[in-house]
Amino acid sequence: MKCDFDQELVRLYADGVLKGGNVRHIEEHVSQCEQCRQELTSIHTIGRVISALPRERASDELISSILARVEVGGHGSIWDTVGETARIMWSVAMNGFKIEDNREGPLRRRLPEWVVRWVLFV
Amino acid sequence: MNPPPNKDFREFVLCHADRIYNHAFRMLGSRADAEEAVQDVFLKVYNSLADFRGEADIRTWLYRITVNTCLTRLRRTWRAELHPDGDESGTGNAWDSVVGDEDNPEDILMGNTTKELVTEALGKISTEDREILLLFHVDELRYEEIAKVLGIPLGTVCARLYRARKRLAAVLFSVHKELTR
Repeated sequence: MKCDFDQELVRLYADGVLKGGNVRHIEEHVSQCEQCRQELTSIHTIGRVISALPRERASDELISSILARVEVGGHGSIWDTVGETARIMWSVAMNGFKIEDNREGPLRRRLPEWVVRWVLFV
Repeated sequence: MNPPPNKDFREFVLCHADRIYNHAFRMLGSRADAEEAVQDVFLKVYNSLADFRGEADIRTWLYRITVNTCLTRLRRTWRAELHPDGDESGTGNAWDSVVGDEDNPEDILMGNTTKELVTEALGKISTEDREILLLFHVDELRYEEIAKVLGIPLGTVCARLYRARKRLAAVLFSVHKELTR
């Protein structure tokens, strides 16, 4: 005989989404229903099969490559660089080469190293 | 939120690179493609950190970028199916390695010899099915997170997972049946 219990509830239970009273309600039903027990077993089996796949790890070379690409290409557009350089030049003209500590970090991140060296004479 | 200092970004990469690489590898089926995708993901993350307002969980946001990057790459290269790297899959059909005396499907599927077969089966289902199975069972994202990553209603997650599992099971069992006939 085909079970007319809400199968979506069984699936939500299998995925650990349900809480409280719903859980008890389903557990009671499943303990007496072979069809729903099979559904649960199928879901758990497929889940275990997939999660048993070995976890592939990023190589050190890949991580170095990511960081290198960020260093080279993570600075935004050329206009960002031009704008930031203009702001620095204005700041230098007004304040000399004294740049506040809290500005230097962001500048170093946003500008290529050679610009920072050129502007700050470091 | 301003972009983090390089030191912080480095830590961010070190913290998330493995899981993002694993996801990309399972989605794209090739180490070379996965490596390129992961580089693209982190470059996008770096360039968009200034726009990240902290409204979304950073993990959800990172996975959304990863999913979109993988899908774009799959579309661009017209790879509807997963083809494991030649140097990893060896020659012949991966199902050949199954030793078929067991009668219990769970034993068959859970055996150590089936990992390559599961990888192959994952490649035979649709990108959409593979994506949601990986997000739930491998990346261990919650329903709410999956809904946000994929941009679908919360109520759709359960139904999509059900369909994806059913299709994967069908692929696994049909091939196994053929081999043991």
